[in-house]
Amino acid sequence: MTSRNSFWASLKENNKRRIWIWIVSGLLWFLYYPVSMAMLMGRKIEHNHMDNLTGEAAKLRLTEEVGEWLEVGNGITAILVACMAIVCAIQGFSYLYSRKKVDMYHSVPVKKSRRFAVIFTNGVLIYFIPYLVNLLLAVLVAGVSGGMNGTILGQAAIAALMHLAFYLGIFALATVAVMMTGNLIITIFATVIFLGYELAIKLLLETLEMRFFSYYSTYSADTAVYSSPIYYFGKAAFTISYMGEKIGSGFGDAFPYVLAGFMLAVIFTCIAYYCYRKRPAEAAGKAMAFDKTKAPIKLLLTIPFALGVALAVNSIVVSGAAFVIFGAGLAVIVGNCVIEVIYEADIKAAFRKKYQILISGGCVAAIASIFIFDLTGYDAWIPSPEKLQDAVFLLPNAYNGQSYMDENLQRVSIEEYALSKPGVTDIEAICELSARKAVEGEDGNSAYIWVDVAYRMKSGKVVWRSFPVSIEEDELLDRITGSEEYKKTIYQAYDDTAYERMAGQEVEEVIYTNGFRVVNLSPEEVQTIRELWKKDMENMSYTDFRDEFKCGVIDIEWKVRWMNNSYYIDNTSFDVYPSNTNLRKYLEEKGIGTENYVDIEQIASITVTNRHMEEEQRLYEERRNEMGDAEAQLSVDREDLSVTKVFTEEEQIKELVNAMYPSRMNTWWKRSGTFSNDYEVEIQYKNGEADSSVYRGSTNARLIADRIPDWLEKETAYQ
Amino acid sequence: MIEIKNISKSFADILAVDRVSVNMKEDTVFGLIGTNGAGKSTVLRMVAGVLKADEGSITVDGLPVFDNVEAKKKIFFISDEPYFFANSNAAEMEKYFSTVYEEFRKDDYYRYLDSFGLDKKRKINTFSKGMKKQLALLCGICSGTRYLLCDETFDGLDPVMRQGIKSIFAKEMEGRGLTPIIASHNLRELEDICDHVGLLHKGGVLLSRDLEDMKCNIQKVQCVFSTKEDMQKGMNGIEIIKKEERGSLYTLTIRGTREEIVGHFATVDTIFFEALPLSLEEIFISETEVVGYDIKKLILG
Repeated sequence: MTSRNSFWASLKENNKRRIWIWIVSGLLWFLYYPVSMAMLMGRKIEHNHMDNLTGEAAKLRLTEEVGEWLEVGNGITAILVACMAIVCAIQGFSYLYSRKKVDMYHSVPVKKSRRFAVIFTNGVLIYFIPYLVNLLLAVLVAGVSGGMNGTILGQAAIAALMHLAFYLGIFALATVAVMMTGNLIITIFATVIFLGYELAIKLLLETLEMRFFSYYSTYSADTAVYSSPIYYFGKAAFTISYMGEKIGSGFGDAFPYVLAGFMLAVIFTCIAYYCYRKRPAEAAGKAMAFDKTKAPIKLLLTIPFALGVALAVNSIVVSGAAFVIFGAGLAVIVGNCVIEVIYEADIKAAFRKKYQILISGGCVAAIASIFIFDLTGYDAWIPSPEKLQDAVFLLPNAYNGQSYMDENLQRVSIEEYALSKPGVTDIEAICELSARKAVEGEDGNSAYIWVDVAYRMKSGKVVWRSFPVSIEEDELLDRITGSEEYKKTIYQAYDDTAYERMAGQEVEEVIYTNGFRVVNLSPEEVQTIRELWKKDMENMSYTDFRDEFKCGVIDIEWKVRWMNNSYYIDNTSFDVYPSNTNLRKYLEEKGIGTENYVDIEQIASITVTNRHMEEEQRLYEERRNEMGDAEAQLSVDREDLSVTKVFTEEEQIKELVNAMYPSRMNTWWKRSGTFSNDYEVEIQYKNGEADSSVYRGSTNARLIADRIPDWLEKETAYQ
Repeated sequence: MIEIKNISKSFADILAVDRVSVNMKEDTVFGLIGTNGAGKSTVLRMVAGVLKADEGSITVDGLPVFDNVEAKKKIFFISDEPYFFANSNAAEMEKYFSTVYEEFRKDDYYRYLDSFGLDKKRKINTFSKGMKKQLALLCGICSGTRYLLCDETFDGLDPVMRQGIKSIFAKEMEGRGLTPIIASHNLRELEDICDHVGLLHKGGVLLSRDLEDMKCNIQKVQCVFSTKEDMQKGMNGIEIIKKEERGSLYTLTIRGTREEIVGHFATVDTIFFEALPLSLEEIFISETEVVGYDIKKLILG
């Protein structure tokens, strides 16, 4: 027999006070799971009849629908779980808002720990029992309808476990919010703030760094929100959804996130319990339960708010320090006053704590100064060779057009991929290049490339910087880009392990394009092409890429398995340079010419437009003294200086083709002036083919400056 | 015994209770009287273990009360606005209290409900304010706790109910040593119930006495002296708290037992002498005036 003072008796008693929420939860999950499932199955069975689908095909349609509904990746379920968690937490502990209720509950001989455990446990049961029962009913409905299999059952079980972890996290976090506040409105605000504060702060800091630090690398942005259950659930759900049918391995990969989610829930529960024990009874009805937290919370809210306002004003007025200072100051005052009014529930209390306004303003000014004056020496920092282990170099556009995948064939960003690889170990070159940061724009004749570098320190710390280096840093850039580590990082196909993973996938399409023409290759050739390309790449480095003009690009599209039964297309690109002798020879043997971009025989004419940029600039300079900047620009814009000529002579076409570089091909890492900015070129083919949206094909080109025929300037001279 | 030693409690900048020390003995009815804002509810909430005193200590039969289940087992607290579960009835309240008070006496509870005419199945939110107070008192009485803390619980109860509760108190006090502690802002509400009274004012204790002692130690006398010499003789040798003179009629409030006072005036030649009984109100007026307070303004309104 159960003692009338037992934990279970207490649970039962507490549940009597929470009947309505049991009903809400039961109804919600009943409608969401078995009812919706029955409707879904009914509709899909009807579709099968209409489409005359029978047997496995019909079953597949049903199982796909059931899988999508029951899997953890279903966002609607997650939203419902989160809402239930917040409602249950607030409802369970809402007695703390009422003095009457607190007087009763806290005067009876029940241990605080018992009361907390009872309310907390019931809060979880209110969600999980109706959820589980209705999920099983939905499984039953799906099974009876023929839309269930073992895989989906496994997915549903994993989803239930992960939803429980997610629920616990949000529920415990909302409980902390209840403990720290004294009324419903403030609790809801607090819950939202707890969920999003870390992310908001990270975004704010990132924006400040981007705005004020010259060498900030966007790759250093840390988007992980460690204090939010949403983050862990999202990561785990994405991983599992990604793995599709491979339930075991999918859950294995997601397990650390699930575990972290549970751990976070435990931490929040401990905080909630501590606050519950410490919460004074007189907090009922007040905005904040603990007086000691009032000032720090006010600071933690007003400082980022004011900095955010300052950044927003700064982005609107572009330059105008007075406006920014005014905006930040106003935000500090308004933020402090509003929070104080909320704390005291009295409009007259707005300016009661003037010293806090001053402290808040001082903090905003101090933090802003750190960024504005770079007090931490962010931009001046260069790694110490003794402390540096290696570095990951990301040169712009070297990885253009490629997508990167991890060992599970899950698409990852370049920085994630790069950081998973060994970095460049030529410490001397790394440090020297880092010390030789160029100042962009200081020398008008030089060209720069912005490099992103992840310095991996021996301590395990990773420091990102993004800085310009002169395009003429041949020796250092050659040393870095010529290294195996660099190539394996940037060119996924260069790394045997990474490539083997890709090679296990089905090839959708292989093409070679030179920017004008697209030629299809056979999927069977992929292995050979890759081997030849790798062989050629072994001897290539920065100066080769800079000084040579690409012949073309080989693009391999892989069918990579995506969620459940779907696929996505991933691609691997091999740039073909003149010095890729092995690969070019292979292509030539296949009848794919790599010498010329276009067959002169096929060209009817070439239209060249000379925009006369220099003349335009001269006119602008001449007129700006009389008319002012804007008027002078307008006047020059109105006066069209461009001259267009069509060339049909074979000799002229030959010379023009020799100078042409397809517009679709990128021109990174080239010295300024490599391409003429004056000329625009368009090819007209004899067969009438015009520029179209044909993938990777174009009729437009740029002209390489030192190959422009002398006669072209005369022919297109401005009269 | 509930021992309150030097407790203080502030809410933000407001000092609600200022170094209060009172002992609430067993087997008596303790009345805690004071104006609104005097700190009665705060003291009771601290005694009930709901609030934590900023300073000082409260023990219930030697056990500190805050966050102590063993001490709380000895206490039932009826706040000024007793809380009953939403849409609940008297029977459901019994079920709850039965789970938290091990010695809750169901049979007595239902018997009392019957005798007070409270329907156990009727929703409490349809009860009148007085009925809710009766129900709260019955819950407290039947909880089996030694101490029953009532905050303004008797205010507004009709005389019949007061009499009923009073007789239950008497029975419970005799039977199991119940010690009711009743806070009120109205002295007249406590007069016929309390044995001991503590007067709170502005967060502090103005006085704390047994009513019987107070009544026995203060006398009201009306007399007309034969001569001026007799008047001087009569006024000497006794502690006069208050003196009123209307023509030759003197009304004196004097500290001392009835025997002492009557004996004193027997030695004086008086034309008229009468020793009158004092109401609790008059005793309070006299006692508090001595320490410089106008009790009429404080609690009699």
